[in-house]
Amino acid sequence: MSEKILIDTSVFVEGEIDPRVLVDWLARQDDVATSELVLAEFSVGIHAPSDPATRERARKFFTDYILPVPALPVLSQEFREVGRLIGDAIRHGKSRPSLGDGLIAMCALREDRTVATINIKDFTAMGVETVNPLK
Amino acid sequence: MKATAADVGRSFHEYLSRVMHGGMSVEITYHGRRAAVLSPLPGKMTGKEYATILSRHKPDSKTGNEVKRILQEQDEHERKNFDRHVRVR
Repeated sequence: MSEKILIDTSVFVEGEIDPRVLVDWLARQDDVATSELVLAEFSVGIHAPSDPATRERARKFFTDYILPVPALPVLSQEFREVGRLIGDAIRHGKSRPSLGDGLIAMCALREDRTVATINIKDFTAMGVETVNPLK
Repeated sequence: MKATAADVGRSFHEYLSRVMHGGMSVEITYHGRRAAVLSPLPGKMTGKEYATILSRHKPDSKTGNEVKRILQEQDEHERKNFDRHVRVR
């Protein structure tokens, strides 16, 4: 498999726990990127831990291993359009995606990218192609 | 940097080159008001390039699992709030 990939927050977290589970899969991809929204989501995990050493290690992972990945912007009109994407998924009883996942899905659809995520259900419910790199 | 719409219109290729190759953003004003921003889009990275970078990271289950727990709790909290306020049937 080789396609344009958008890496979701959940995959970066798995990479922080153990990068060996991702490296072989990554090496087979032609083009990887992430979303600015993913950077925002992961940043919560930098600032929330009560232990200062954990915060520092999370910040270092973010700086050294996430920031180098090209981050695609969220466009202003997507804030107005994301409600349709999430609302349709809810109305059809498929899932209840978060606002953050909705904006990541908008970015993936705009850029024609497959979302690499552990959270397959919510993205699939919004009509996005997905792949779970751990499987 | 800042530029007027008239300046950008006259020298569009020059400004675009600064954005694309210089990595700078141009804030464009129109009749004295901030109107738009011309910004670079991110470059391309292959999976192999990122695999090389990520493979330098030493596994850290303690930090990773703490970040995972926090993000999952935040996600559940947002979903509960959404259900409480929107009450979708």
